[in-house]
Amino acid sequence: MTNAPSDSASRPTKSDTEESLRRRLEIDRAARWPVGIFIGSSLVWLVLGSLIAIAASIKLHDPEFLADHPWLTFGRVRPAHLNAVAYGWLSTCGIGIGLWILSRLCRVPIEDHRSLALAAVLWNMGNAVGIWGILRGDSTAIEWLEYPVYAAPFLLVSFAFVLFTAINLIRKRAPGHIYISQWYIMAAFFWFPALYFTAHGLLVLAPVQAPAQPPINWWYAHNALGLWFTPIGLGAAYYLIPKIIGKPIHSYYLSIIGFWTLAFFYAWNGMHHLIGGPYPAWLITASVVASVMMFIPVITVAINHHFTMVGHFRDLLYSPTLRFVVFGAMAYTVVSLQGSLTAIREINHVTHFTHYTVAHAHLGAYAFASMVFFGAIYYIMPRLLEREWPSRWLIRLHFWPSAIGIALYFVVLSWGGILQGLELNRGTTPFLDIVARTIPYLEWRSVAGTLMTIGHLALLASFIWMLVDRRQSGAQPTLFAERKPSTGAASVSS
Amino acid sequence: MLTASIVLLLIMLCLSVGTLIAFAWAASEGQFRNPDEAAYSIFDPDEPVGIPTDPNLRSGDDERSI
Repeated sequence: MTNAPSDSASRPTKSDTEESLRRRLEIDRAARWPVGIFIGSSLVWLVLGSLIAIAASIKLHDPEFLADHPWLTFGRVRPAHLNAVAYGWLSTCGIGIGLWILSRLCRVPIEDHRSLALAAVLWNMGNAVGIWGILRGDSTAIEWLEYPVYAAPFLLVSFAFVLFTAINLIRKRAPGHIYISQWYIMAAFFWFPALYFTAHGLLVLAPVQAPAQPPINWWYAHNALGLWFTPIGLGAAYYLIPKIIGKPIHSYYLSIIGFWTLAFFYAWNGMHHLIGGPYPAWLITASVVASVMMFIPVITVAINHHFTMVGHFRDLLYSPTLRFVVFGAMAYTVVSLQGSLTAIREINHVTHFTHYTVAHAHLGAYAFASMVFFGAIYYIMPRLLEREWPSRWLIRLHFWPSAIGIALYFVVLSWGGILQGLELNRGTTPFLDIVARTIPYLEWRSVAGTLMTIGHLALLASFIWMLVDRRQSGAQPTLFAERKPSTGAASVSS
Repeated sequence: MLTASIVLLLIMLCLSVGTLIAFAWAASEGQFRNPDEAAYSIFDPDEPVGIPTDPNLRSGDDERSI
C-alpha cells in the first residue's frame, strides 16, 4: 500500500493554495477550445456510429431492412459503424481526454491551442471523408482500416499536431515524478501513429502479398484496442479515481509493473486471431504466450483499482464520473482475462468465427474504454466550461441504458456465440440451420444496441444543453443524488 | 509471406527496443525510486490528498469550489 511521503504532511499555505488554483484554472482555460472540440465532436460520431450500428444489427436478423439503398447495405454500414466509433468516437475523445490529463499532470497549459483546435477540425474532416468514402463504396475492405486512402492525410497531419503538443507538454513538465497516467497516455500517443501508419502503408498504400496481409491486419486491429484505447482508458482511470475520492492509488509499484508489462508484451498479442490459419506455428504460439502473459498487467490493475476504492464504494451512489470509470475499470479486468483465455487454442477453436468474438470486442471497446471515457467527460467538461451538467436525470438516462445495454449485449452474444461455435465444430447440423438458430440472439443484440443509443442521445442532449445554457455556473457538481455532509445521510434515487 | 513476417517482426522489435530505451531512461532518471511520492504527485495544494474533488463527496468541513 502507498504510504504518505513525509513532506505531504505539512499543510500548504494560503498563498500556495491560491497559486495552485490559479494555475489549474489557467491550464483548464487553455484546454477549453481544443479539448472541447475533440470531446464535443466525438459525441456526434458516437451517436452517428450508434445509429448506423442499429441499422447493421437489424440487417443481421431482417436482411430486407434498408436493403434497397446501396449506401445502406450491410457491407457498407458495418464498416462505417466500426470506423465511426473507433476513430470518430473513441480516438477523438481519447485524444481530448489524453491531452487534458497530460496538461493537468505536467502542470503546463496547452500553448498553441489554436493550432490544436485546427488539428481537431482536421481530424474530424478525416473521419467525415472516411465515413463518406465507406458509405459510397470506397472501403478498402481491410477490417479496422476501411477508410479510403484519401482520408489518411487528414488524420496524419492532425495527429502530427497532437503528438507535437503532447511532446511539448512532457518536455516542459514540472519537475518530479512522471505519474503513471502520463506514462500510459504518452505511450499511447507514440504507439497509435506507429501502428496506424505502418499498417496503412503495408496494407493500403503498398499492399504486401495477399497471404501476408492477415497477420499485419490483426497485429494492427488488436493493438489498436490494446495499445491505443487501453492505455488512454487506464491512464484516465488512474488519474480520475484517486482525484475524485482524494486518495492515492493503492500501490504505485503495481501500477509501474502493469504499465511496463503491457508495453513489453501487448504488441505480440494480435496473431492469436489467426489460430487455425495457414501461418507459421511459432508466430501464433508466440502470440498465445504473450496473450496469457497479459494476466500480469491485468491483475496488477485490478488489484490497484479495487483496493484504491476500498472504503469509498458508497461514493458510487453519488459521483457520475466515479460510477462510469469504476464500471469501465471492472470491465477491463473481465475483458482482458477473457481475452487471454480466448487466445488458448482449445477455447479459440470453439469461439473463433462466432458472435462470441463480437461480444468480446464490445466488452473491451464499450464496457471498458467507452465507459471510462464517459466518466472522464463528466469530470472534464465542467472544469473546461466552468459550468455544471444541467440535469442529473439525463446523466441517469445515460448510465442505466448504457450499462444494461452492454451487459445484455455481452451475455446474449457470448452465449449465442458459444452455442454457434459448438454446433459448427460438431459438423452434423447444416450451416444455414446454425445461422437460423442465432437469430433470437441477434434480435436481442438490436435491443441492446438501441438501449445504448438511448444513453448516447441523453449524453449528447446533456452536452448541448450544457453548452447553450450559460446560467449553469453553480459551484456544486451535478451528482446522482444529494448528500447531506453534516449527517452523512443521503437522498439516493440513482 | 516471409517478407511480411520479417517486416512485422522488425516493427515489433522496434517497438520493444523503443520501450526498452524508455525503460532505461526512466530508471536512469530515478522514476522508479520513491514510488510513494509519485502516487501523491496528482494532488496539489488546492486539491490536496484526503479531499474529494467533487465537493458533495466531502465530509462537510471544506468550502473550496472548482
